[in-house]
Amino acid sequence: MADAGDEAEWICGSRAGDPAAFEPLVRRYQRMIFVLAYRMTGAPESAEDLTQEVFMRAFQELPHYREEAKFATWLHQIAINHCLNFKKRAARQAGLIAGWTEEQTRRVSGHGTGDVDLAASVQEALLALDERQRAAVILTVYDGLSHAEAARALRCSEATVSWRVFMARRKLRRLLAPQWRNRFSKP
Amino acid sequence: MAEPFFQTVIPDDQLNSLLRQGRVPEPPPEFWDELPSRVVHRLGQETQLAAREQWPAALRWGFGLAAACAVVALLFLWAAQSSKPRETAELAASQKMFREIQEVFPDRLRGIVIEGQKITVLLAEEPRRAAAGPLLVELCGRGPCQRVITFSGETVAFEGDRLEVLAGARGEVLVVGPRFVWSSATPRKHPADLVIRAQALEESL
Repeated sequence: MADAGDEAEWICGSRAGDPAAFEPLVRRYQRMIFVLAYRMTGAPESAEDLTQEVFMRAFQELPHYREEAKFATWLHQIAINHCLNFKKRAARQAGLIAGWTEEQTRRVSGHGTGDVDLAASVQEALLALDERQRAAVILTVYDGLSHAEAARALRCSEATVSWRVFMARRKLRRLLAPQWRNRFSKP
Repeated sequence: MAEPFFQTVIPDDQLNSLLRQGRVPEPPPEFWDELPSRVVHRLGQETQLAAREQWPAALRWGFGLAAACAVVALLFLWAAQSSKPRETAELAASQKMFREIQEVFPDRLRGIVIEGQKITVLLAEEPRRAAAGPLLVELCGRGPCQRVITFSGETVAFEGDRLEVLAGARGEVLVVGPRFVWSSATPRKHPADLVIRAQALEESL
């Protein structure tokens, strides 16, 4: 398992313009970025494309990376903003969301139908949020960033992040009430 | 209005738990292996492309600079080539004029001053044989330049000052002003606001 020293070396090599030094960084963070992109788009193909684009962008932006922030947090910032700017997303979603349930059934293996249904419901609920509220929820709930870190990633104030999370939770509670009753309120 | 039932009963931690149970579909298995090498491959291509784009830019700048230098060099050459014959012809004409006037006023010609088209002849009242040959002195100051053909020991007026022209022991020409002494042996040491060139007239052609 590579440590922080290795990561610093990879970053240093990548900053010097060596794409090969960037490969282990992609390997380490690709799943994190894919999940984030998927949560933001709800479309696996878009998430795959976005993951690649985020790493391409990150390599170009590396000279601007200041090491006071963790590399993962910095990468989150690039990824979330890239997803927010992904203009083609809406058009692609229109076609892809229609086939979403079938896609889930094909791809999620080792889980019962209930899991697939829950996954679909959660993703639908996330997609029903305003995209900035969705981004705030993804960063704080899924990726475990503090509101301050999420604020840096989203380039807004901490209070704005708190407000977006609050509004998002209100909507999610309403949308996911049936699933919650199935999971938590059964005798 | 009372809040709906679900607003009050879903605690944050249960909502978080519910959200986290929403699994993300797995991409095709080869995706994780292929993505890093695909990214590196594309980055390599972009780096090469950027390098290729930079080279022509550098070459363009290089060629542009070389062309500009060549044009400047050609202009200098042309100016030098075109000014040299003209200067030589003017000097020859001045020398011819000096000889002709000297024949008319033997031993009385002290010098001629040429300023543009204007020529001033300096004559002595009494004949006086010059100890050495004539000297050519060119003076450029704030106003128009002046070319003087004269003898050692003579004085010429230039921009309000009286300058004495002297031939040195080693063949150099000295121009002595009220605040300076200039020598053709150290021609680059010009006094302020004045450029002087001087030599024996015979040497000038």
